[in-house]
Amino acid sequence: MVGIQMTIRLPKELETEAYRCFRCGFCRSQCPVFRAKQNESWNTRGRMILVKALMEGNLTLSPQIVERLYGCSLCKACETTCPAVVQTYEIFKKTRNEIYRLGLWPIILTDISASIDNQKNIYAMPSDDRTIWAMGMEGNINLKVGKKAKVAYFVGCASSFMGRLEGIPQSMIRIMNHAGVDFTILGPEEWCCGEPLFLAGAPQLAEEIVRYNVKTFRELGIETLVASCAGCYRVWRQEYPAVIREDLGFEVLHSSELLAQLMDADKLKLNKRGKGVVTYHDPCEIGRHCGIYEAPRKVLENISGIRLVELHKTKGDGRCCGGGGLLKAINPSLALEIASQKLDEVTATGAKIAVSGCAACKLNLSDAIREREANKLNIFSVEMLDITEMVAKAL
Amino acid sequence: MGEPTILEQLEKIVGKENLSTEDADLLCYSRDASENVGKPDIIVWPSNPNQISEIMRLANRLKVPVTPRGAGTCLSGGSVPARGGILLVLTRMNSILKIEVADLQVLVECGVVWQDLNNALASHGLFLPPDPASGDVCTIGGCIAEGAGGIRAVKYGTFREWVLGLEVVLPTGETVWTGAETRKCASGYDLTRLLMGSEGTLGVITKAWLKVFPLPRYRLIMSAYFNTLEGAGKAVFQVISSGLSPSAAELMDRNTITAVSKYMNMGFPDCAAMLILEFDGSFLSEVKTRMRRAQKICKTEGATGVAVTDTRAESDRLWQARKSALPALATLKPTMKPSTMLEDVTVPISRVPEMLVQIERTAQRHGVLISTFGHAGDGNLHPVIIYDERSTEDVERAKRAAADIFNFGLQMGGTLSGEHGIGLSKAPYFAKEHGEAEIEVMRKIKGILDPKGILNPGKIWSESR
Repeated sequence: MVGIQMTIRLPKELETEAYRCFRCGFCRSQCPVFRAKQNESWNTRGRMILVKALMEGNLTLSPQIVERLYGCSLCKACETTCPAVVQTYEIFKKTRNEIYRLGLWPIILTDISASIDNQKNIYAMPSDDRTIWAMGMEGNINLKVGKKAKVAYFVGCASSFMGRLEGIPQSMIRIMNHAGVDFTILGPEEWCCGEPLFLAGAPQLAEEIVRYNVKTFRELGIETLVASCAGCYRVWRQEYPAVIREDLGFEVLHSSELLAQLMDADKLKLNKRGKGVVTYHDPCEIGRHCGIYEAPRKVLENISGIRLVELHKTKGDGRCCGGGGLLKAINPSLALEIASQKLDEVTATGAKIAVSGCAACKLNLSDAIREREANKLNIFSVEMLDITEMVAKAL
Repeated sequence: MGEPTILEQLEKIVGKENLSTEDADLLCYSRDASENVGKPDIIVWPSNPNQISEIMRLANRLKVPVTPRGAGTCLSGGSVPARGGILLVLTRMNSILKIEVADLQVLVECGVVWQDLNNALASHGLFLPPDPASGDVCTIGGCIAEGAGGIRAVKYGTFREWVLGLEVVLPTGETVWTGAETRKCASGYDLTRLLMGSEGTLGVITKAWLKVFPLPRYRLIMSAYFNTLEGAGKAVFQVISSGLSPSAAELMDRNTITAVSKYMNMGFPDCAAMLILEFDGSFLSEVKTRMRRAQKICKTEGATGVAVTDTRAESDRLWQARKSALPALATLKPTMKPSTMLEDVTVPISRVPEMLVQIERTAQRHGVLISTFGHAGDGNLHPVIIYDERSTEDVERAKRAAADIFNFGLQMGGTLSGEHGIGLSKAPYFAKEHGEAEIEVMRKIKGILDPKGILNPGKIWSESR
């Protein structure tokens, strides 16, 4: 057996926490990975058994075990169903931290972290390409780059570099121009938010990034930072203040929250009517992790002509699309399978458009749609849109 | 040229992708929801009875133990492979084959999840009444094999009352159908009931014909709070013996109330015991009348407060709270490495108050933390002994307390298990409940069906000798 017999050490309070898992197995109903794999070692209960065995030194940390412990989208669904309220998310994050410390994390994470270290983005792309999406925009646009402004828009790596996601930043710009928001982006000076490093179990590698990002935005004198990617939003809100051990000095909003505020202030004139049934997929990192459920729904309800139909499982019970927790990078086929199951839920609502508020969700779910189209399984064709795109279409 | 290895032969039967010998899998499948441990050598995920039949023939020839498993939520070790060998995970056989609305019957595969079946039934205005707390995840096959019950068993009985017929693969590989597709059957030996509660030792249940029932139009829920456990026990007995026919009569003691309150943020009042009573039926006035009479009984028996749950959402939350009782108990002693012994002792309903007193005294006598909840209405109590598994002294104390509880239960004419099965957890006590001659009959039946003793060995009585 390849692998090293090593004991992992969790902080005392998390060790105790791990032993509170009774193995009742209720997590089977919620864990998106288990639903796809149908194998207990890919379920929260199984992962907890593995973590405990590793803590007790009774298990070899083989590549298979590492695969299981990184085979989790960190979506937190198990926590919502756990009757013992075990903090599985913290346990899994700390376990990944230990695996990283032992130098045994999945090899692709070495590539990603090197890319963030060298190029300050996850794709090893040149920083100058960070605004390439703006080139595709037609008409007069008002876009400040690295200037003082009230609001800063944090675009994020995926939306900056992935051509398929350019609709998200383009929509954000159109909306903020329409509403007359005084905003700036950082452009080539924007660095990755560091979220992949936090999820990978190497928060220590993210410190320089966090400090750079906070300092740079503080220097622009912003009052608000808005992120359209749920992952970027979460680390800005939850991880950054913990790293710098002080308040950021500006508020952090998710794009859906900004949209809702602009609508409340009557600054968005939605002249075009939408049509048909629309459903909303709660991204885990703004939903379960940060409790944002109402803002995106309020935004959608303000678009005339469409009918919002909720998914069978929604809000805190909403199912992860499989795109989170680095699963898409580490185990792309599994991420796709989970997204495909999510699509079944989407089609069950009769929706022609599925809306989300996260670049990773959009990417993974549209990959699943593509796969269905390639296999001619798209009996019900579904379009995947970000909430910003949905609103921009109605302007 | 020797015979192909067992692994190669199993691969031929189910395909390489449907079996595993990976360390990660073997470890994760070595446990269920009980304290027992047993590591399988090979895990197999069959997809039909023919494959299971071939596996059983192979295992018989090679004398390899086979343990069936559903969702692994068993509370007595039934799905833990005590002697290693092949673990037969049946969750992929999860189709609902027929819903015969007119006949009030369904045909399902063994791996169908309880909640999935009830969701499907609800769209026809039907339900399957026995409702184990693990219903969101547990499988119908597991429920039948373990004789599972649940909150509504007080009115509707356990799974034993709802199974009409079974397709079973015998340990020697033959596939047989037992029972009938009718609501009554007096034709021949009742093999269906023999298999129910046999804990996967007599055959692998692969399909089941089940009775189902129209969903009641009205369900009303009330809670009553008491200063003593005994008072709550007496009130339950009065409610049942007055013929008020509650569809649930659940009891929670102070420790359970504390844990559940914390988990669900329920804000129950401070009290020694709480009763939750549900009444269901087709006519609102009739259901209300029964509930009002129950309220009166509770007050007469010393209830300090009675509350009626008005909305569906509130009721759902209350039941969710009750069903989370066992795992939520882990919040009670957060400083230690907690383990639990969950008992399932069941006594005649008139003895419930007395049994509750004995459990309280047992906890005091041995200095252990016992949290009691359960289906007081049918005499089925779940005292949970919470102990620190790292302390030998604590473990010994817990064991002595468990033995006392069993003895009191049996002295009152009770049984070791109302709905969780004997499995590994209670096997050492089995001979206290059943006479040698009775156990011998069971052994003989086992011997006829499973001559080589390969199916789920080590369970029910083996350890007691």
